[in-house]
Amino acid sequence: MIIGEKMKNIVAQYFWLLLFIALTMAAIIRFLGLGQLSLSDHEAENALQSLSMSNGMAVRIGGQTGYVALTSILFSLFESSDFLARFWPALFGTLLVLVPVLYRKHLGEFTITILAFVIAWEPGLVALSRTADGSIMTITALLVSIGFFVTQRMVLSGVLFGLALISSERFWPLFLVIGAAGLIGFFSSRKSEDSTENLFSNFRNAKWSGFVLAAGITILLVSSIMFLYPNGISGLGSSLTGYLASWKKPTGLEIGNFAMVFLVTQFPVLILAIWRLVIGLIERSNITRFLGIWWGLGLVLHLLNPSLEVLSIALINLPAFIFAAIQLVRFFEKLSIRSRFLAAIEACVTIGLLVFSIINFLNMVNYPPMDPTATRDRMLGMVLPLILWIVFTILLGWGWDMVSTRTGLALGLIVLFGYLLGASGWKAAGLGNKPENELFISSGIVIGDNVLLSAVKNVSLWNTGQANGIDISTVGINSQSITWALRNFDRQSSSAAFPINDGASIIVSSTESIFQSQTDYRGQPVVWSKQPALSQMVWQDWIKWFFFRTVPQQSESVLLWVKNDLFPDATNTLQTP
Amino acid sequence: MIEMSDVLSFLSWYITIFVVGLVSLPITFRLFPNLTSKGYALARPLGLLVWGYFFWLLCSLGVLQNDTGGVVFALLLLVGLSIWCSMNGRWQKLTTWVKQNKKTLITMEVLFFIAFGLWTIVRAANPDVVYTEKPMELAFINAILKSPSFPPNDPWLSGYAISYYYFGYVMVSMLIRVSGVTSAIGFNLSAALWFALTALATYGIVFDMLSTWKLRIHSDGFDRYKLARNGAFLGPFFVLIVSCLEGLLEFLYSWQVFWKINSEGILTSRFWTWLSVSELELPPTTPVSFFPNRPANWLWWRGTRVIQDLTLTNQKIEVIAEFPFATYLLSDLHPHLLGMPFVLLAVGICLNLFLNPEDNIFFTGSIKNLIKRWDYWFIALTLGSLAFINTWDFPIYVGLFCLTGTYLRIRKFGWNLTRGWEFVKTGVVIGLTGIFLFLPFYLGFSSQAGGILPSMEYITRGIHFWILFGALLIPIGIWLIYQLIRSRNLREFLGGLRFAFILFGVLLLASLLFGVLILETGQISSQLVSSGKEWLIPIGLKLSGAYQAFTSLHGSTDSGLIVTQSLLRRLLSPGTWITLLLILAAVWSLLINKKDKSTQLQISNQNIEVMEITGTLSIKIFVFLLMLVGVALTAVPEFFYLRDNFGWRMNTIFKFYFQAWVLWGIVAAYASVELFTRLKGFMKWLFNGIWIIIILAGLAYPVVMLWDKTNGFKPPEWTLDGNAYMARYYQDDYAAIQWLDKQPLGIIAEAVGPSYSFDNHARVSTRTGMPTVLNWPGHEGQWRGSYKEVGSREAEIKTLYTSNDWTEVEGLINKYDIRYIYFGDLEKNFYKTDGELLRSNLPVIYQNSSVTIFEAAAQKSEGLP
Repeated sequence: MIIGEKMKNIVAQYFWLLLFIALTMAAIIRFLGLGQLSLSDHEAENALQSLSMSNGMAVRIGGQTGYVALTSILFSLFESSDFLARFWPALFGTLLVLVPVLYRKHLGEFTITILAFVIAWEPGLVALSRTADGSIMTITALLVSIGFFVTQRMVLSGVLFGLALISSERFWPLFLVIGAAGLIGFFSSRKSEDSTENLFSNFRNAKWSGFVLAAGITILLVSSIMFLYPNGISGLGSSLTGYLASWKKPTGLEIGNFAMVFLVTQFPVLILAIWRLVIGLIERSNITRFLGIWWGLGLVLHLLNPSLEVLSIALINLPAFIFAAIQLVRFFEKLSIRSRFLAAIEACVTIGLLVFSIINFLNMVNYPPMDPTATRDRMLGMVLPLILWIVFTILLGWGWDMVSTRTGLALGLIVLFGYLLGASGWKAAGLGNKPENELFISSGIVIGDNVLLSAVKNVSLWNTGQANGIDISTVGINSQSITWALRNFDRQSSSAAFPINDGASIIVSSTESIFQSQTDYRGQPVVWSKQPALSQMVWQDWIKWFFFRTVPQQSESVLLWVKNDLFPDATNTLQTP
Repeated sequence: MIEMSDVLSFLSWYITIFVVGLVSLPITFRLFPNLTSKGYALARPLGLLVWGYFFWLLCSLGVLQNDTGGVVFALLLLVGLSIWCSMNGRWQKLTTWVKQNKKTLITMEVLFFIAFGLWTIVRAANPDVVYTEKPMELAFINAILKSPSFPPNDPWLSGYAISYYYFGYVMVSMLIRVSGVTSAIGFNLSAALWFALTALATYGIVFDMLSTWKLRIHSDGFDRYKLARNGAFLGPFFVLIVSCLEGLLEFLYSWQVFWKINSEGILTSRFWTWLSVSELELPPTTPVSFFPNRPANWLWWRGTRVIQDLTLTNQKIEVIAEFPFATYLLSDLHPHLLGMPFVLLAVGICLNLFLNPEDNIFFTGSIKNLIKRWDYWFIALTLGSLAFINTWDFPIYVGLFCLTGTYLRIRKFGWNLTRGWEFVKTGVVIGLTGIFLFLPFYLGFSSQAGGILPSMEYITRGIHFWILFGALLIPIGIWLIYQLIRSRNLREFLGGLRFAFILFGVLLLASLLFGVLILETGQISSQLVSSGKEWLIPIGLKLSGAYQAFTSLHGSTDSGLIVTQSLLRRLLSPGTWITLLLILAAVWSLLINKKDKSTQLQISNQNIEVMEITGTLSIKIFVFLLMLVGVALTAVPEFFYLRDNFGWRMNTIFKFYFQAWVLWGIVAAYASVELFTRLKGFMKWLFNGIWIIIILAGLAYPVVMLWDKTNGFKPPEWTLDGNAYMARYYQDDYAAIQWLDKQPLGIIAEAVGPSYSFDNHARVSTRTGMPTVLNWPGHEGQWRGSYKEVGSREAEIKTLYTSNDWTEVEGLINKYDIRYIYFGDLEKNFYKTDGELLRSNLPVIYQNSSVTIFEAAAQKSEGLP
C-alpha cells in the first residue's frame, strides 16, 4: 500500500472537512483565553488609539490604521477589552489557514491541507494572531490579495490589497520581498517553458483600474471608518514612514540571539524547508525559485534592519512553511507499507528511544552530575538509546522489510515533530504555564495588572463607593500598558514629576521617580511585566527553554502609592466625585 | 570642515527634492507643452507646491494628520496625479523627449546641484538662527511641526493660530519631516534649497525664451540649443548673484575717494553728502584699505537700506530695498525668499501662455468651460498659492498673466473695450479661484493691510534708484536703445513718451488729490463723529484714524506745504521718474510696434544664423511685458503705497522692488545674450566693455559681503545646525530646551521680550514650537493688525514670575492653561526674581545649573492620554 496515494485519496474525498478541522483547530488555539493576559506596551499603543477613536477623541493614528479603525468599531459596539483588542488579529490569523486554497491550482490539495495544519499550529503565526496589532491582518490580506490577483479577481484583490496596506507597517517589507521575487520570477519565466507554474503571467493583462479603484476606496473607507475619522487616512503614509523609521530604531536584539530563536522555534519546519529548497532548485522549479527568492530576500531584509524582533520570524518564514508542506507531501508520496505491524513497531521504538535519550540529555543539562561515574551513566543513558535505535532499525529493515521499517521510522519522526509543533503552538499562544517565558512576544508580558488593579479598586470602593471613582495619577511613567490597564478610571492624569501640594489619591510612579512627600502616602512595589532576557542566555538556557520553557528573565516594576488617609484604618474619607 | 552628518542631511534633501522633481515631471510635461524645456526646471517648485497643497488642505480639513504619515500620504497623491498625467501614451512621449534633451537636462541638474551645494557651504559658514527675523521663522516652522492639526498654533501667542502667510513654512516643515533632519538644520538647508530652486527656475525660463530663437543650421549635427543653454546661465547670474552697486561704494569709501581734509583738519566730501547713504556720509574712521573694512556691526546690511524716505523736516525713514543676493546672504526664511521659486513658476506659466497665442480660452471662454480645463486649476493653484506664500506677489503675477493674455488678444483683434473687460474678467475669475483654493487660510487670517495711501513727499531719489538697480538697468537700457534704433520709428517712441507723460501725470495728480482729500478728512471725520448717527460714527472714526496716521507721519497738517514739497522734491530729484518714464516710453513704443520684422544675423565664428520668423510673435514681446510690469512695480510706490502698521512706504518698496528685480533680472539676462550675439564690430567691443565694468561693480557687493558675513569663511564651527551657537554660548538653555522639546505639547511661560531681542527672548518657544503666552508683541500686533489679542499678556507674564501671591500666579496659570514654566538666567535677570514662589508650589521636572522647568499642570487625560 502506498501511503501517499492513500492520503491523497482521503484528502480528495474529505478536502473541505480537513480544512474545516484545521480551521477549527486554528480558531481554538487563537481564540482560547484570548483576553487572559493584559495588553503589553506594544499592543496597548494600538488599542489606546482605537479606544480614543471609539470615544470620539482626537487621536494621532500611527501606521496601523486598518487595525485601529476596525478595532475601534468593536470598542464602539461593545466595551473595550483585551479580548476585543486582539479579536481582529485572531480572526485574520484563523482565516490564514484558508488562504492556501486560493493557490490550489499551483500547490495541489494535499499540500494545501498539510499547509493548513502547519499554519494552524505554527508558533510564530499563532503568537502574531494573538497580538493586538495589524501584522497578521497584513499577512493574510496580502496573501489573499495575491491569490485573487492570480485568479484575475481584480476588485477583490484590490480590496484586500488596500486592507493589507493600511493594516501594519509590516506590509512594506513583505510587499517588497514578494514584489521583488515576483518581478524576478516574471522576467525569468519568459525563458522558461513551464509557463503553467508562473504565478505572475497575468501581470500584463490585469485590469488595473478596478484594482486601483477598489484598493483606493478600501483605504479611504476603512482607514477613516466611513469618513467618521478622516485623519485616519494619514495612516497609510504613517505605515510607510513607520517602516522607514524602523531602520533608525535598534531594538537591541543581537543577530546571534535572533538566530538561536529562529533555530529553536522553527526547528522541524526549517529542515523540511531547506530540504525542499535544494531539491526544487535542482529540479529548476519556478515556484521554488520564487519562494526561495522571497525567503532569502525576506531574511536578509529583516536581518539588516536594526529593529529586528522575534515576531518577524513568522513573517520571514512564510515561504518556508509552504516549502515544508510541499516536502512533507513528497515525503508521503514515497512511503508505502507492506506490514503494518512492522511499521508500528518501528514507529513506537523510534518514539520511545528518542524520548528516553532526550530525557537523559535534559537531565544532564538541568542537573549536571558531580562525579565521573554519574556523568558516564548519564552519557550512556543519552547515547545508548540512540545506538540501540539505529541498530534496531537496521536489523528490522535488513531482517524483515526495509520498506515498512522506513515508513515506521518516518511515522515515528512525524509524530514527534507533530507533537513538538502542537506543543510549541499551544505555548506560543500563552496557554502554557509560563507565558512570560515565551520568546514570541513583542514586549513584556504584563503580570502585575491583577495586583495593581485589585489594590486600586479596593481603595476606590472604600472611599468613593465606586470601583473606578478615585483620582489616579501616573508620575514619570511612559507605559502604554499601564494607561490601558487604568483606562476605566474617569479621573486619570499623568505628569513628569510628583506634585508638591495637592497630589492625586493614588499615584503610580516609576521606581526612579523621587517622591518628596512619602510620609503622606503608603507605597508598594509591583512587578508589572516580565520577558525573557535573551542577551543573558547561554547555550544550556536555549535547550532548557526548548523543553521546559525556563529562561532568564528581565522585569519592569512600578511603585503604587496610596494616600495614608484612604485606608480603612484612617479617619478621613474622600467625597464621591 | 563640514561634519559627515551635515553632508548626509544635505544629501537627504537633495534626494528628496530630486524625487519630487522627477515625480512632477509628467505634470509639467503636460502643463508646459509650449516650453522647450517642458517645464523641467519648474518641476521641483511645482511638485513642492502641489504636494504642499494636498498636505495643507487635507490637514486643514482634518483628513490628514499633521505628521510624517500625512506628508507621505500627500506625496502619494502627487505620485497618483503624476501617473494620471503620464497616461494615454504621454509616458512614451516623455521618455523620448528626455532622451532627445539629455544635454539640457544634465546641464540643469549640474546647475542645481552646484547651486544647492555652494549655498549649503555658505550657510554652514554662518548658520546661526539668531537676530533679524530668523527666530520668528524658526518658531513658525517648529510650531507647524508640533501642531496636532492645521491651522498651526501661533508659537508666540498661545491659544491662537498663526495669522501670517505661512504656506512656505509648511513646505519647509514637510521637507524636514520626510528627511528626518532637525528643524535647525532644515532651516539652513531650506535657504540653500530655495537658492538652488530659484537658480534652476530662472535658468529654465531664460533657456525657454532663448530657445525660441529659430536657428537656421548650415551644418549637420549642430546642437540647436547650445546658445540657449549657455546664455541661460545669465538668468540666475543676474537674478541671484549680481547685486546693487553699494558694494562698489564700499570700495570707494574704503579708498577714501572724494574725501578731502578741510581747513579744520576734518574729512569732508560733497559727493558722499550728496549721495546721502547712511553711514557712508560720515567721514571714514579707518586708514585707507583696498578691501572695505569700515567698522560696522553688519556691513552687508547697508546695501539693503540704500533708499531712504525723508519727512518734511528731512528726517530719514528707513526703507527696505532688498535684492535677491542680500536676501539669500541674510537667509531669513522670509516669505519673499520662500516665494521666489513660485513666482518664477508663475512667470513660466505666463511664458507658456505667450508661446501659444491661439489658446484663448482663458480670456474668451465661459467660466463653465474654464473650470473643465485641468490646466486652469493648476494655474489658479500656482497664482493663488502666492497669496499664501507672500501675499504681495499675488496681484503682481495675476496681473502679469492677464497682461500677457490680453496683449496677445490685442495683437490679434486690436484694442477695444472688450480687451479691457477680458483683462478684468480673467483677473477676477482666476484670482477668486486662487482664493477659493486656499479658502481655509483666509478664514483664519487677519491682514495688517489698511488700505492705500498717497505717497506725497516720499520719493525715491534717482541716485538711490540707480545704486539699487544700476547693474540691471544698464544692459537693459542699452538693449532698449538698440531695439529702438532697429525699429527706426521715432514717431512711435514719441508716442510712447507722450503716453508715459500722461500716465505719470495722471498718477501724480491722483496721488496729490488723494492726499489733499485725506488731509481734509480731519474736519469731515469730526463732523461725522459728532453727527450722532450711529452708522456714520464708525466711518468717522476710521477716517479720523487715517487722518491722524497720515498727518503724524508727515509731521504737518498743512496740505499746501505737503503738496508743494511733493512737487518740489519730484522736480529736484527727478532721476527715478525720468528713468522710469523713458523706459516706459521705450517699452510702450516697442510693444505697439506691429511690424515684427524678420531678421537674419550671422553669429560670429559659427555656421548658423539667428532669425525670427515673420508671423510668429517674437519672444522679445514677452520680455517687454516683463519689463513693463517691472516699471509698474517701481513707479507705483512713487505715487501710492499700501498702508500697514509701519505707516510709510517701507514694505511697499521692499516687496515691489524685490519683484521688479526678479523680472528685470530675467530681462537683463535676455538682453545681454541678445546683444552679445547680435552686435558686431566696435559696438560689440563697446558693449562688452561697459557690460564687464557694470557687472564687476555689481559683483563688488557679493564678494565683499560674503566674505564679511562668513568671517572670511572662518566660522567658529562648520555646521548646518542653526542652534549650534546656543550649544556654544548658552549650554544650560540649550540642554533644557533639548529636553523640553521631547516632552508632550503644552503651553509654556518664558520671559516676554521685544521683537529682534538681542537677549535671546522667545528662545524656548522658538526652538520647541510649543506656544508661549506671548513674545515679540510688536510682531504679533503687526500680524494681526491690532494689539487686541496681545492684550495684557506681557504684564501678566511679568506678574507670573514676580508676584508673591500664589493665588494670583495660579490664576494666571489657569487662565492661559500654562503647562511648563521656564526659569533660566534670562527670566531671573529680566524680572529680577529668584523664582522662590514657583519653587515652593510647583514640581520641578527639569533642572540644571541655571535652568529650572516647572510643571504647572498635569496632563488631564479624560480617561485617556
